[in-house]
Amino acid sequence: MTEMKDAMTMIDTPGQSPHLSSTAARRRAGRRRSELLFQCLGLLSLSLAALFLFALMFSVVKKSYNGFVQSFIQLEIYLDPAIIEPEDLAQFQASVGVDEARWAAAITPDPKKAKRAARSIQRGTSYEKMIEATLLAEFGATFDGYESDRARDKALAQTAKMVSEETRFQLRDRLIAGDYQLGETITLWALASGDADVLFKDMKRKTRKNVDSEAWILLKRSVDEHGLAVLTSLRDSGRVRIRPYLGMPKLELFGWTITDRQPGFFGSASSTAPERAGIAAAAQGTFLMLLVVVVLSVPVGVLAAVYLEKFAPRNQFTDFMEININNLAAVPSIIFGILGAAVIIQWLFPGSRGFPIVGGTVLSFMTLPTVIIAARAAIGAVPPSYEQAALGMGASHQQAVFQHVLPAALPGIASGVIIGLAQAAGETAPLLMVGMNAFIKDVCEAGAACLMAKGVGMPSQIYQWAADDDPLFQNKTAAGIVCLLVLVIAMNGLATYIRARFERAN
Amino acid sequence: MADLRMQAEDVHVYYGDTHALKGVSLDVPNRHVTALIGPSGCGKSTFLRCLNRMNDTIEIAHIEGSIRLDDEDIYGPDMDVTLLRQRVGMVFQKPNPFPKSIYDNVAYGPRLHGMARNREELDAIVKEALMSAGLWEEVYDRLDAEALGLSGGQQQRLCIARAIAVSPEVILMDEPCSALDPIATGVVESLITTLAEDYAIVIVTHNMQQAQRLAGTTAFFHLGDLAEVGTTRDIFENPQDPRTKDYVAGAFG
Repeated sequence: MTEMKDAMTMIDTPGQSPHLSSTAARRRAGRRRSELLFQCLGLLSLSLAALFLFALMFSVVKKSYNGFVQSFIQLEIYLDPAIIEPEDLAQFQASVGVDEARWAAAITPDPKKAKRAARSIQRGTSYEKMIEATLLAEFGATFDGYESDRARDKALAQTAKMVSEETRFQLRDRLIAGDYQLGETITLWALASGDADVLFKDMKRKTRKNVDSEAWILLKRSVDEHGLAVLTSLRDSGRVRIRPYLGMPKLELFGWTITDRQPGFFGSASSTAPERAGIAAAAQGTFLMLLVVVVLSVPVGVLAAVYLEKFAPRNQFTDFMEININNLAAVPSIIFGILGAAVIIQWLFPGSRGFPIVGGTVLSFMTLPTVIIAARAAIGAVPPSYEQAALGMGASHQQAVFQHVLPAALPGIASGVIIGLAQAAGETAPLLMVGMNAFIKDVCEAGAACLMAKGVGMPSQIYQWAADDDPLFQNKTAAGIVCLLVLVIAMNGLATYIRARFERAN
Repeated sequence: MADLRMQAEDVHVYYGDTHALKGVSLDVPNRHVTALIGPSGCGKSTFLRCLNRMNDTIEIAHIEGSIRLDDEDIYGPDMDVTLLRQRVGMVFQKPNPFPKSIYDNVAYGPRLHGMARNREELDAIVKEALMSAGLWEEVYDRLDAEALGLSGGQQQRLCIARAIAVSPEVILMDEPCSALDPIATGVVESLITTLAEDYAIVIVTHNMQQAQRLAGTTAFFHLGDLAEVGTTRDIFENPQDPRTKDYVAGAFG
């Protein structure tokens, strides 16, 4: 309207329509220009955001690849009966499950010898000796030229350590289980240690030996040039492969075993050896915590939302509660962690530090406002006609709400809860505050009791790995981030799907 | 006409500071249609909602005066609101079936009030209600179908069936045909005429022809006052109040 008035006061020739004047034409052109400019700016900012997101995703996903794949070395290992005596093994096998001391006392007349034998079967050193023997047999010439046998043995032992301890434990377990027999020579793809793995991946990437590369420098911490020569020759003879090392967590449901544990990124807990480190314990911790969050925050949150939305009298107290709930959603998560550490761990349940049940409780505090806000929005969006109809039929207020309003709001509430869970799954700071960043080297297999055993969550596991400067741990960090991202994106996708279906249904 | 179902005396309604209904006294006869007409915001819907205490759900609403159902004060301390609403059913402006099956919609009230001891009794109640609402022939073979899949007119008749399934004494209808097309309106109107043989019906309508077609008694509301009440013929052909005269002649509203 004002534009038209402006134009009317500036008529070029008398009698001409004000819309055709040159002033009006200029104004229109200006408007078009500013619209175009705004669109360009919008497009620019959108592409910048997309670029950043893409760059972030690309770098993480690229880096994570080497966290999922691992180097393996093909070795022919002679299971030397001179190192582990067949007699000892047979007796040990006969008493699997019986503890070492009792076995030693009951079966063999010489307890000291028995103890030593048991130790030689159970500990990694015996198998390390077999690997050393394998290397010496094949690469003996490489290890010539040491001034003393002692120095040579030391170099040999260091080189043997380029095979991961995972392989030693695997040898032991299969020997005890009877899969392997003493005296036979087995060929297996042995997991390479972290340092060797980084070297092999580096060699693959560069296709030439870059002696000054980071991987070489790193490797020099653990082996000398003879060891390097062994690794290089293994690689050049095609006996090194880089392949996925994913594994499988042990999944049980009501006593039924769905999958057995296989070592690998998804099957192993954390380890000081980067090649053995996996996400399984952290995933278990996160799962347990989310379980606690669901159990605590869903009933409390939904009932609070129902009360506030449908039953609470409008007064200053409910207004005050409402403001507080909205503000709580914006409180930094570390504050909830401090609350958990101070109230639950120091005051209520001393000694519960690092328990998933505590971590889950803290995450519930954090998720509660999100759940309440989402549930209130969902309840508020239910057409009032349902409630009116029920009331008109003589239903009580409570019946109308619980029989008609709540069921109609459930999809909205569910999507809000899932968003809250996804948020909780990715939260790091509260976990650090309640000690959910412990070093966990075995996946807990105690079922529900794992809620009350020291645990770790996925974000804090990632945080731990990120703090280690080992390149393989950096890759595992990225791999862990990818897992967490997939989890969170999947949960958000599910929430979006539920909401979309809900909206279509209405 | 001596058979009165409900009697309202000097009813005042306040929404906060707004005086929405200023002393309305009206009788609701049994087996009879009473129409409430008047321009928007005149208080006719407010009065209707007083009759089964639906205004209770509005927090700021405040009611004075007395409304009696069969000589019982419905705002009295002994009155159970859920029982009142069972006895005084309501049909809303927009068809509002529950997002459930046709059967469950009709069975909702009887289940709620424990009116059937077993499935056979419930089936009988549902069938009777649907037959009374003239819907049985159209839906008897798909009682498990979603109620929201019915047409608008069918949905409204389903709501009427739902209301009469609990054997009310009075049925309140708040512009029941305003969301329906003319054909569906015709069906619902003839249904109302049939129902008037058994129930006391109070209907709010914007449509003066509808009031003339359906109602024996018409009450004209204006700005919160009950301006005039009388037989429908008198209200439309021989109105006493100048406001009624202008309104029915189409001078405003």
